[in-house]
Amino acid sequence: MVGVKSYARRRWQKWLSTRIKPNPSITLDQRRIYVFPTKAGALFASMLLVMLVTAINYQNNSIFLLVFFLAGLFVMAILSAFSNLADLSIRRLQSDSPFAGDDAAFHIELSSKLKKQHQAIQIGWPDIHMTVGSLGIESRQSLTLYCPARQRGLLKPQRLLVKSVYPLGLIRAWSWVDLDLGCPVYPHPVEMDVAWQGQDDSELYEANHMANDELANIRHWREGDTPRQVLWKAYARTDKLMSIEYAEPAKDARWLDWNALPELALEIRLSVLCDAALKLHDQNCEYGLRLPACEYTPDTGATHLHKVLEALALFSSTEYQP
Amino acid sequence: MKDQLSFDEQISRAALFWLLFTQIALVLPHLDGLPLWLFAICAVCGGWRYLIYRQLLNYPATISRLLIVVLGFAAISAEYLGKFSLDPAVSLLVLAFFLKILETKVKRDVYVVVCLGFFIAATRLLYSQSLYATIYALFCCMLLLVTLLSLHQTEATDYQSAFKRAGILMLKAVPLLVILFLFFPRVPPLWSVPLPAGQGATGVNDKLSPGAITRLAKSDVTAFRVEFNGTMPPLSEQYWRGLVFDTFDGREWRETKARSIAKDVRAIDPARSSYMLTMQASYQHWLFTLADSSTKNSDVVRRSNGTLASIKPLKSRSKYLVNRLASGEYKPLSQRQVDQYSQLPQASNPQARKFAKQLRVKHSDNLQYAQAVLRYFNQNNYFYTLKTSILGAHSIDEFLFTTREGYCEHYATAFVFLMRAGNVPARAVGGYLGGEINPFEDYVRVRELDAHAWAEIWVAGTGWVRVDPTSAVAPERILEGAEQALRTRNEFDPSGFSGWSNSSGLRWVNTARLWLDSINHQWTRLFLNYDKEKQSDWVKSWWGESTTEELLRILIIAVISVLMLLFLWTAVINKWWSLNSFTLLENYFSYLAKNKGIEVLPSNTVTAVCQKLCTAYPIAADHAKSYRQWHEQYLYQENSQLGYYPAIRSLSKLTATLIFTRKNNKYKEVQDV
Repeated sequence: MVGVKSYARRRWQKWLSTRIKPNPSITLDQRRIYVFPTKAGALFASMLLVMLVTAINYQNNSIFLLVFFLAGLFVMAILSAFSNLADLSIRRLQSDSPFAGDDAAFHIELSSKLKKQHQAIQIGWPDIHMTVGSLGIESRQSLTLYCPARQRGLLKPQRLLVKSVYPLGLIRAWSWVDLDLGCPVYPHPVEMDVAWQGQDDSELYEANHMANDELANIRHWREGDTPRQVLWKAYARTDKLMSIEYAEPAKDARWLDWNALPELALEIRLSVLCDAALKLHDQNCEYGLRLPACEYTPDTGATHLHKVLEALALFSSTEYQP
Repeated sequence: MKDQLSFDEQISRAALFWLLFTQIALVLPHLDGLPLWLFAICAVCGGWRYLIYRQLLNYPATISRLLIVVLGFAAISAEYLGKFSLDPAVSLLVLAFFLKILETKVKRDVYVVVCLGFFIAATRLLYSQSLYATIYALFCCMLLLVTLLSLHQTEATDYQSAFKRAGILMLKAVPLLVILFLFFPRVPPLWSVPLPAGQGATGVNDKLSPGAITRLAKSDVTAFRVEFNGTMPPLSEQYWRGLVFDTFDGREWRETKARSIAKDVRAIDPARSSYMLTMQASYQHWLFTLADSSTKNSDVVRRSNGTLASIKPLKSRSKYLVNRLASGEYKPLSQRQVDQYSQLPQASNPQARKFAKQLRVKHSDNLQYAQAVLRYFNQNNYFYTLKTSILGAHSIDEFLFTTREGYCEHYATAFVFLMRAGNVPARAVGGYLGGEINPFEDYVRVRELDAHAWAEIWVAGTGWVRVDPTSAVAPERILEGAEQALRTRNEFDPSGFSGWSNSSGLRWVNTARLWLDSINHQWTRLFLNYDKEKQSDWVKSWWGESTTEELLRILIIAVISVLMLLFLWTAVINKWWSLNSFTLLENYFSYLAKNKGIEVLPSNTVTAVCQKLCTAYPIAADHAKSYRQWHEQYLYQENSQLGYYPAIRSLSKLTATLIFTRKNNKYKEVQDV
């Protein structure tokens, strides 16, 4: 049974991917929207049937009127549910990469070019996370979807379900959209005391480190200096903000080397490297990454950190031959 | 239960409020028919749920819920033990409707309650199909829609916008409603169904005894309506015969059960106008017609006593086209009939018998004898009043010689008794006399308070002759109607609407009442009487055929075309307008300016064009400026709810102004220089 179900699901997804193609921005139209009565709709329809039989048996024109009126409403609910989704644009914004075990956050934006409202739009993955948004006339709304990232690697969530039962809850209109969402999942950081090698050897590194303070250059505070750089003592004395500039951070650089941890398994090794990169980034040290297939020259800053973490996230075992 | 409900489950507070409100609105009209303790249970359930809503109470435990269910069901089965009618079914529905609200925690429960609500709105219409009842049912549906809408809205909106949305949705459903109502094939009932209990209690009854008509004099309810095709006979001549009472058992007058069906061979009298009779649902067989009437309706039989009756009880309003016949030829009574119409129980009312014998000796002619009895009524201080005493075993003796106060049935029965005691074949007739002419539509509304009883006596050589003993004591009852007769006696106090409107002396209220009644009549005529035959007549006149298949074909085609039109409107025209209207309006504005000789460069903004236009045509400045204002607001105001209507209005005003104005001369000079 399970096999058949998963096969059917795979076929369905495949068929969908030919029909609703992955695209960072999708506007829903009649080719992409499906409508079907909900359970409440089925209940309503059976109630209408009983009411119709009552009207026939009592030959009661007022009840006929009521039945036909409600039937008309039911049909209008189909159109309204469809029109609530139609012309809704969904756009992918950036995503926040998680560490393995955390939740990835995908930001998306709902907007509409037309002068109409979109009410109670539910969007997300049915079993994972659904969120609700509403659009006023010509407005936009950004939503965040959370998807648990269990494993290190590239997280490609399933298609997004966009659905709405507005206005009456009797009809469900929905669409499966693929915004081509994806983000790297960084390794889960594992702390380990490793003495990372400097540029050439440890002694030089030590020497550099010792010399660090002496080589420091004191200058006026500039936008972007971290609080750690500020000479607070001097500030208390002179009322002027002064910062220390480490003159030669290049000499401070350390290499996060894949080969430095030969005794560890692959995932743990990546986790340790990840933790080290984060720590060095916090300390504002310069660091590089050396992997079997590639190398990232030492640098600082958030962009560099992301580059390094992404390399760790996307490291595939085929690159590595023990 | 989970602490956090998902959007698919949680019920908004607004939805719950409207649900409770709607429930009250739905059961209110049932108050007059269903047992009061049921509403006590409803009030407990609704109140409890309201306190949960206010977070003052918790959901009831399973055991107390079960207790309420068992109590409710036990009470209903005790109330309606052995009686299978509509009321217990509706009671059960109402009970379930309110019990469900006690355990309404998630959206799914609301759907169940709302569906029950729609059905309860429909059950109310089984009791009354009047225009007001139908409008009220539609109003309840609107409340249910508001509930559903507020259930699915994420933003907290004010109730006006929810009502507006519900209203728009309802309006959109109207085309389909009309098509379905007209073309949905009407089929005969699938199986027989229980009728609402307690119906048929009002109206003229099949027994005539002192008090039977008096009871009706307080009721303003419509019994039937009549439309004459031609000249209307005077109200004082409109004796609507329904029942003929020929058997007296000492207390009550009854109709003999045996109803022979006599085929009427007389010709239609073209001099007397035919009329359309619209009977209210009386749950009885008899129809009320003028003397010498007949109808071609196959459901109606003619009885030997000259009245018409429907084969089936009148479960709903029904219409009959009734023709007046030429007066019948004389056929003498058989001995059996003479016996039947002279029958009196032995030893009842001895005083009246004695009185009749004495009077009969003086008058040998039947008609003269009748005149003498009427004279006796007229000259011996008899009162025509609703305030009558309860009469004992010899009711006619007591009335004639002791109380001397009575309403029409007292006089009619006493008169018939005296006639029979004097060996004149006689019978009492029950029905209505007169009515209320509606000035807006040309018809007569006959109310229950117009109920009347009179007598017919047999005159050899002539036949049955109508004698109204009431005319001897209260001629104004015949000439001016029951309402006026009671009013002069200060006894007019109907429970209905016309009572207070007339007695309070508000003329316009009375006018409004008559006007509303004429609308109600049209509602009956056009809407409630639309049945299988009307449908097939109507469809035949347009399509030539009206089989069920043909109807279904028309239905499907009509529904599909309406849907396509609606889709075209929403998906194509509306969308196109929504996307292009702003540019179109902008282009039109510059076209207007260009047309009036103002140079418009492609780089010119609307503001620049507007400025030029204002200097050239100061008279049009206001409209141009108001357009510019809209334009700016539209472009730069965040999240504005601005529609296109103000722009269209100012542009059309601008166009109208520009057509009739000439360019400002100063502007010309400036340009010339």
